[in-house]
Amino acid sequence: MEQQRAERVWGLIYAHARADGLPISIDTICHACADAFGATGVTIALTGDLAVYEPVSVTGPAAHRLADLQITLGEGPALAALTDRRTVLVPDLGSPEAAVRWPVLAPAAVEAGIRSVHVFPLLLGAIACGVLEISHADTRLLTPDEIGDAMIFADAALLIQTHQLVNPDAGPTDLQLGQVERWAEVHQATGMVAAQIDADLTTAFVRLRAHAYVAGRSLREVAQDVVARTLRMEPWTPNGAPNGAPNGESED
Amino acid sequence: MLYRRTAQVFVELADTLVAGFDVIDFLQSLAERAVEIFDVDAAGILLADPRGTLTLVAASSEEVRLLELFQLQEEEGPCLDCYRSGTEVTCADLSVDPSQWPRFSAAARELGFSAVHAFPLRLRDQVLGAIGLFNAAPRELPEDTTTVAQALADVATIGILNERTLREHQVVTEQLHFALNSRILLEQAKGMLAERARIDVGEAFAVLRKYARDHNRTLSSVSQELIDNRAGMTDLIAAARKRTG
Repeated sequence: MEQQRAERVWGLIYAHARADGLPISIDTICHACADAFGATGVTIALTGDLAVYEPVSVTGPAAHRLADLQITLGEGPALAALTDRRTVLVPDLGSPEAAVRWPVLAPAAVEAGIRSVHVFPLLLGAIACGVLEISHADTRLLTPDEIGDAMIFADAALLIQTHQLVNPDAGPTDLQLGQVERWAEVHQATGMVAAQIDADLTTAFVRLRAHAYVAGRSLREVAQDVVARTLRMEPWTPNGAPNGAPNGESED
Repeated sequence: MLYRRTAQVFVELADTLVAGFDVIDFLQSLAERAVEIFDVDAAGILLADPRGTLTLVAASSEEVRLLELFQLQEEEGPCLDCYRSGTEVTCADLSVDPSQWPRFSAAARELGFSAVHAFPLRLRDQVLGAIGLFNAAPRELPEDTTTVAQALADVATIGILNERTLREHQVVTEQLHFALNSRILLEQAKGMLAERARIDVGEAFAVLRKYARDHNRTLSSVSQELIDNRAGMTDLIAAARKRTG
């Protein structure tokens, strides 16, 4: 039964790769998963020392927005799944329970067009390496059968991300990430802001997130502005007031 | 009696499979318990590394340690044959036909052993090593004893494979974390260099790569130094400014 399930799910992934005429990548798994579940969005993210939640493949604009919100706010179902190393099923982000658990994120996600989300950790032994998130615009709870399939997609995502690393010739930069170049801009902007405000990267990242939150903009948009040099941050002066612009930031 | 003592060992072994499992401790205790259970004089365990090279990992006495090492050095003996064939190899009296392992038989007698029974550590097609049971006097092991001995070898095999799987998981996890962190670090360093040298991030990457190559360093180590030392690496900053005029 489980063997048949694995064969069926891998069959879907292979069919997707064949249709695209490309070898199986993390993006193939993301797209095949979105198709199989009729999902509004699917995100595959990894975790590491430098980023707790790093999207490596995202499909659907709403999923981009949900990932952005979770990074900016530092809360959400995916972060809970990583911390607890277990599956987090949220059938209704508009429910009172969701509002208690994620008071800022839950209403923002609903506003972004996501009403339910199912998160499956990518587990290697006892360690959570990342997550697979499946989002829908309507309230729903995946059936046990669908959950079984989702776990195979999660295994496949982990396998694809790790298999080239197990090759003894692979270097650290051989990690093949998906079409998520916009997330790279967040890290580039963090490095730029660290130089602008003469602070460490953690502080710079907090400044970026705070700016996005206060301005009501997405972290990626803010990062793009920093990289394009239409937005720069100023160091805080000793008396607490920023140099130059009244809010410590200036638009060119 | 044999079964009761064996059952106790299985329970002990099952306990070692849970927390703080150390494969060497596990195999050493297995060798010592095998001596008690099977009423033999000594036991030794050989284990193959991933390339197939055998090493001695546990021995119940100094004599058997020397005899196992002798087999590895001379590439001759019942434990090696057992590992290579994946089947049980026995010799109830080494003095009867010394031509099978002439050097091993002589060394065994010198160390005080006359009989040997070797069982493979095997799971399906995979042979991981061999456990050798040695007696001072010539001796045939009864059939129920050999059955139990092979069962014990099978448990040892599962223990070893379990430990290897966990260890490989850890290595893979570390590689994955390292790869992801290297990516993020590089992006951050690109941004920092772009800001300090007033160039765009694409140019910053080209400068970082050239600097790493010229200094025979990795991109990760150059990125890390740039980030750790925000006022330093002035040669890199100068190179970046010069590049764009």
